[in-house]
Amino acid sequence: MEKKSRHYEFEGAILDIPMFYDELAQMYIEEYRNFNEDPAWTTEGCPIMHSVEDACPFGEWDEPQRCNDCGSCRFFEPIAPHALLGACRQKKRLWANKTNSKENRGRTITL
Amino acid sequence: MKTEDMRETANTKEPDSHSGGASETESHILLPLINSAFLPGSCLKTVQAMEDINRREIAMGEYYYFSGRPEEVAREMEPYLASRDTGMRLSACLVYAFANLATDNIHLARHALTEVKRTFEKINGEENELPELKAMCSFVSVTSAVLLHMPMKEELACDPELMNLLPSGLRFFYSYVMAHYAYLQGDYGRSIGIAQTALAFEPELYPIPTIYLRLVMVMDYMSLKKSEEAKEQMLLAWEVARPDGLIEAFGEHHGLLGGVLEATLKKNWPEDFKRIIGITYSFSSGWRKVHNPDTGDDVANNLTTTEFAIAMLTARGWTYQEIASHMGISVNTVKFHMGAVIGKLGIEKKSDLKKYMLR
Repeated sequence: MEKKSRHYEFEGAILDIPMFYDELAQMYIEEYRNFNEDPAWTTEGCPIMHSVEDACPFGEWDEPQRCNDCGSCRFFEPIAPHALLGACRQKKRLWANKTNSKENRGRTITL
Repeated sequence: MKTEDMRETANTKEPDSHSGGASETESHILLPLINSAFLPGSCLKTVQAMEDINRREIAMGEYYYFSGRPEEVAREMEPYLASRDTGMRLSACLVYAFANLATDNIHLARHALTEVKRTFEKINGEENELPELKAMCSFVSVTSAVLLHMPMKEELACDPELMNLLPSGLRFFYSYVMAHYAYLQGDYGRSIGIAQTALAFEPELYPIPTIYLRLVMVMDYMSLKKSEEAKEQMLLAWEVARPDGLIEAFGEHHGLLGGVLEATLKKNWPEDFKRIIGITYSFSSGWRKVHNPDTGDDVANNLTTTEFAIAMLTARGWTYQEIASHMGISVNTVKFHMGAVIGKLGIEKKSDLKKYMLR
């Protein structure tokens, strides 16, 4: 089966998402990596997240009850309308606020 | 062996034409296997030892159904679908309907369910009809409505006094139906209470109602995020079911069991697990086509059983870490499956999952 992938570029972040063919659904499906563990970053230092990642402690919601994913968080900005990937605009999650090491000095990661 | 306490009938096969039937000729045979107490491992012997041929044949149809062989149900039950005996006819229609859901013969399932409804309306409308017959009709009507998640009409609400006229095994199974109804209303604590009370007062082991009661408790505990209690009930159900291969209930309920099957049976009983998943696919496909559109039209039908379990737990607010711990898999595996779920369903956030999931 031919290997497929989908290419995204957003504010300096470049992502190539591999896809696999699902026999049951008879369609190609994007195979996302774990963005919580290994996010991509915009040039402004915002992490690119997937909309259904578990919400982090800094999330805020417009709905009365707490939502439990990035896609419901008001800091989440999809890279395009209805896109599953988006940038997290929460300042506490900016690259600049990461506390570790030298290897985090770069701004853009190609997946 | 202890068998059901309904009236014995002659050891002759009843005529197969349906001519209306007078109450005094009724056999009062209703779902004899559900209504039988036996030790695990002796299910088939129990059926074969039934002296009355009609009782034995209907019980054999039930045995085929509960052991996951719906194709064989038709052979046993079809002669009784138009029986003039109300109990035999209702037994045949109920089991035949559910078996045909599993074989995707939806028109046959609908036909059998229509006969259940017609019989209920006829018997219920007769003031002088025997209360035992009314009890049987109510039992079958409520059972089919609840298990198919159909709307419960007021007239279907059973009079508890009427249910006391049923033999103990059926009363016991009725407790499961009521617990399932409480579960559907989101009253999980009450559902557990009904099931626990029934099990506490079970005079002897009625395996089929016991399996179903324990499975509804699994559903309840998972809804309350009590994973360990759910697993305990699952293993207790399996202990009763496994010796006789009574696996149908596990496949039927898979969508509501929230990954407990995967967490408890998959590793130690892989062949049984595989058969259960086979039942899940075939049964759920038919079930979706007949049950309440409020929950059925949008129920996801192209998810694998693992994806469905993960999606369902996610929709109920479980985090990926919680799901991973519960199912004994890594967080990354959970996320991989969720990626497939959102791709297949075309959703954008977790809250969108709810409309695709079972209650």
